[in-house]
Amino acid sequence: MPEISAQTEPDPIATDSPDADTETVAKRKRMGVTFWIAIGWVALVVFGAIFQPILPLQSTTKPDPCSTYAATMANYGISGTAAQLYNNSQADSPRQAQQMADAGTKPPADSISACPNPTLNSKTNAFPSAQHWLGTDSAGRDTFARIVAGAKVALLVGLVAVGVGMILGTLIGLIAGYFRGAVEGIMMTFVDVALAFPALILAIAIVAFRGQSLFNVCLAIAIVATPGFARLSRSSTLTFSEREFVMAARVMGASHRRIIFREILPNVALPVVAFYLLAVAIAIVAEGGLAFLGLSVPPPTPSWGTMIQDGYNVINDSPFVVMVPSMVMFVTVLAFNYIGDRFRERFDVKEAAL
Amino acid sequence: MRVARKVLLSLLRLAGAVVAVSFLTFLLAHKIPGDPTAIILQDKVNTMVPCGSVLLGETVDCGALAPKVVHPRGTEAPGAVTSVCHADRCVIASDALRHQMGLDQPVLTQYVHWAGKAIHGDFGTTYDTQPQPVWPQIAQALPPTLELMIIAMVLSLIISIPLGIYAAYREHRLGDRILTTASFLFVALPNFVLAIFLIIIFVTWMGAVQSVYVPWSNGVGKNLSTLAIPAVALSLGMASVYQRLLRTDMIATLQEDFILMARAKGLPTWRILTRHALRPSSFSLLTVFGINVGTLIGGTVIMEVMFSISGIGKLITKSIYVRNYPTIQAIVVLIAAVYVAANVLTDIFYSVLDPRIRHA
Amino acid sequence: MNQPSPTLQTSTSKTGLAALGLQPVPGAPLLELDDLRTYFEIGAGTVHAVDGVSLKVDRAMTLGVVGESGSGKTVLSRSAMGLLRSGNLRQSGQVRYQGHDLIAMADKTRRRLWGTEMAMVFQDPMTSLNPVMKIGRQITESLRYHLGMSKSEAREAALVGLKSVGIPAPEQRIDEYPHQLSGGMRQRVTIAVALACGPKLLFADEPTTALDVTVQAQILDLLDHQRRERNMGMILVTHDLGVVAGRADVVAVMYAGQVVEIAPTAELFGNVRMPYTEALLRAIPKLDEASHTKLNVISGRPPDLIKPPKGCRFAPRCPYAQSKCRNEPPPLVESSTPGHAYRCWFPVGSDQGSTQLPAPVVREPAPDPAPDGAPKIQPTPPPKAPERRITAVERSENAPENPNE
Repeated sequence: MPEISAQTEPDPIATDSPDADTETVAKRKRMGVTFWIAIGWVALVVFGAIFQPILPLQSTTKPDPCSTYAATMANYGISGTAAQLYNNSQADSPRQAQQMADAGTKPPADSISACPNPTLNSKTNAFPSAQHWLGTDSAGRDTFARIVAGAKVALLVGLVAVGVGMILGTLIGLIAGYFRGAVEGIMMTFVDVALAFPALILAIAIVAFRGQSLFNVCLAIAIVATPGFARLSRSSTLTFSEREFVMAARVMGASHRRIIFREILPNVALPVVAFYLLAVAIAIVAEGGLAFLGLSVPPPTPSWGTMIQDGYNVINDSPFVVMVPSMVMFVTVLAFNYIGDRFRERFDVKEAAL
Repeated sequence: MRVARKVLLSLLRLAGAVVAVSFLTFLLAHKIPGDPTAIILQDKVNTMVPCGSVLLGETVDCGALAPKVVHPRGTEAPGAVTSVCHADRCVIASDALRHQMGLDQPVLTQYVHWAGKAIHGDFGTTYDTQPQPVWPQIAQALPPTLELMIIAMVLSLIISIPLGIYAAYREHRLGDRILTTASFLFVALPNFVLAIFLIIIFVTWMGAVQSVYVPWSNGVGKNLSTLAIPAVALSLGMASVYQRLLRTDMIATLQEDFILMARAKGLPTWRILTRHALRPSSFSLLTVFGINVGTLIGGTVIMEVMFSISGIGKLITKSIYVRNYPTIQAIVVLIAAVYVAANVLTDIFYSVLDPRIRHA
Repeated sequence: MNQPSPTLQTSTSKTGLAALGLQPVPGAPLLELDDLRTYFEIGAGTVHAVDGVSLKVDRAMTLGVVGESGSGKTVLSRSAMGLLRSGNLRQSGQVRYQGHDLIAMADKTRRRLWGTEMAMVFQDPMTSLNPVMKIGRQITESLRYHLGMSKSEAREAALVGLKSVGIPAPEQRIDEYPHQLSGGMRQRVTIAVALACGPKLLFADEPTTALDVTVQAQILDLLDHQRRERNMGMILVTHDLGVVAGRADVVAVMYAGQVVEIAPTAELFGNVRMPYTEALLRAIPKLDEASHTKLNVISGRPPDLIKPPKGCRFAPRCPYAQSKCRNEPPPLVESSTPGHAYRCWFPVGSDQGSTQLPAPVVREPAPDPAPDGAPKIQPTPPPKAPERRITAVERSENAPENPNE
């Protein structure tokens, strides 16, 4: 090797990392603004998902009560009152309705109470307005309310279902990696077979065979997520179960359960959590994929995936409708990826280990 | 010789994995509610079999009783298809049909029977009103899927390799930083969302025409233009992953003595990067490239549904809706075989890339 | 072994200086370093890796550069050739090749001289050959690139080249990969690679350090033979005085980034002036000593190149050091013998020097004063094979492994 110590050795081909070492040390101490923005976004999504039932949001399933009037307004270019008159058969033609409205005729009382003041903001595929913060979808439903409700599905599918897969997979990996032998052989054969199969196809099969429901979507994600965690935790268990502290515990006569959960698990947990953050992002995307195949949660329950799929049908006329849930899903996946990345950097989890 | 042995071992592993996967799907398909005979029977009954006619070797006897709903095998599990028929006749017919289809045999026997035929390319017939052989269906759906997958894979390499080399060469400089950020964004961008963005930009805003898939025979240009958006949508995410992997490995390779030696020979930089540094830096890329075939199949299914491409993805989703088990089974085995084959090819390619593996 | 350089006959296109439209400046030496300084800016400060070195090499001459690990000898050879490229590099002074300053040249221009005018053989043939490329191609690629040879011409030339460096059955070897060759064979291949385009100047950077002792001499002989045959200038960088003893015309001893003594070889060995050189000489085990004689080691470790000592850089480790040594840096002064210069206030063998002083105390290796990770000097184990050359300044990692020669 060349003489001067490693950090001063110049790179052979134009690379300049003057003080990469000191730089990363400084970076490690502070997580950076972007990290906290990502955390903030995830917190917002979690907040929306949990408090969705008690938040003062509009209906996620029923269209805006004014949407039919808004459609008439847009079609014939008449005022809101005229549209109410026309739609409630008070006038024979839109023009007559407009004349009646101009003359001060009031629409029927029940239609006023249902929709006091129809505006174009209530029509289907509307752009954002004070009434509908993120516009409306192709059925005239409030997109913002549906996004918030969709967060619930995203988190159930992402955090909860992947969480179940993580617990299951980690247990399998710990047991296989600790006991070795036939137990490991059988378990890892199943894991390998499961991994040898495209995850999305497996999820499609599970949901298709068992029927379309939120539970089955979560079940599919949990099943698909399990083998990855099993393989990861097994390989970490293998390295740690040969370490001195595990040997020491064994010699002291600790029970297998104690060794697995007290000695090995805390060390395996770090890469597992790093993988979990990545897997959550993948699961949220997988829900979207299932939705495109018509296999996500059944309507009218909103999920980001089904919203994207709905919006895709009107992409040529109203691209905004599909943009909103797409962006929300993208930003959420980005946030989880970023947090996962920083987590790995912070705790020095090797990417190869995943 | 060693290579031959390695390939042989890999092929054995391939065969084992395909058998395991096909048996598992066989089990899965046959353990779930929704008796396939019910589907056939329902079709027959709905198209109305007159009383006294012969259904699957049994006379349909209307008798004195009114028609009633009978659940096949007496199950009422969710998703079970009920068949409408007459008195006990339906149950008898169902059993007869199950016997005829071999469904009353133990699963293992059924599997061996199926596998024996599958080896000869006979994947059975569909459970339709008019049963069709499975294989021609698949053969027809295969070309568009393969085309889309291959274009996406090639595109991802064309994008990622130059950018990975560039980023490694310009480590920590502006170009590298921009690429690192961009690849981070594209990794997080689901392919269907990317497809949507591309449609909005190119079709909705710029007025390009996205037409339904046409095969090669209708003109290569036309064919490629219909696949452009789905192929780009599939490849950019993969390309970002490959770019990152290549960059990391390449940075390590560029520290090697043989790179310094190549520089001392007076070779130009691009030549050193492509001829000397690229090959030893592409192992991680190759590994993930092999693994990604599975992910790519999933993505292709979504793209086929989004862009109305009648490929394997569309066929399997359609078959799942109508519980066409023979088709599902055949496609699943096919996908497993492709996936495992991709991994074996990856192994073989390792030894092409690194002579040390060949001689080890 | 007697064929003249194959590439020189076949080359028709202009190469090297000629390709750049430059002529050798008449009377200028082949290579001349003039107050070369190579510094690296790192977080902790500036590393003075090469600190004002002036040297001269002519055709057919071998200049030995000797120093321990961390003395800057590798950085010296790399910066003389212009191979260093890094954002934190700072260079000053001049490196004149046949009168043309390499440091002032654009990277692209300088690159045209590599391979054709000057070449380098690296320390470890295990890592300096591309593991995934057939050795034939590693030779032919520069022939094809620089000399514009066709595939078959280049292959022929490579076969001749492999034969001339003593590779048996080159027709077979040319299609093999580096890992299929032993360490010594690989170093022969790297020499063939370096010599492919007929350079006039060869840098050999510790060419035998990584090799088995039994092949070290063979490789050195090969280099020497090629130098004579091709009328090349050679800079032989090593930590081993024994390596340069029989082969260099002039030896420069480096310490802490500076040349501390330079002299024609016989003069240097016969008339050592600098205590550091003397210590290096003492550290060579003598064959006539009893087999368990303790090796003389230089205690302490090389100075921190970020903050070199303000006086003589060797003073902290010098058994003769006086207060002047610690406070004033000695200049490089010519001795009475022409060509012999040294950097010492109280040179060995002089009136003011060691004769007035008590004989140098040879100390036992002190308990390691170096903090973890710092380069340190360790005594090598007593020699087992009688022909083995061992130096005390060799870092233990550099100990030759057995490359199955």
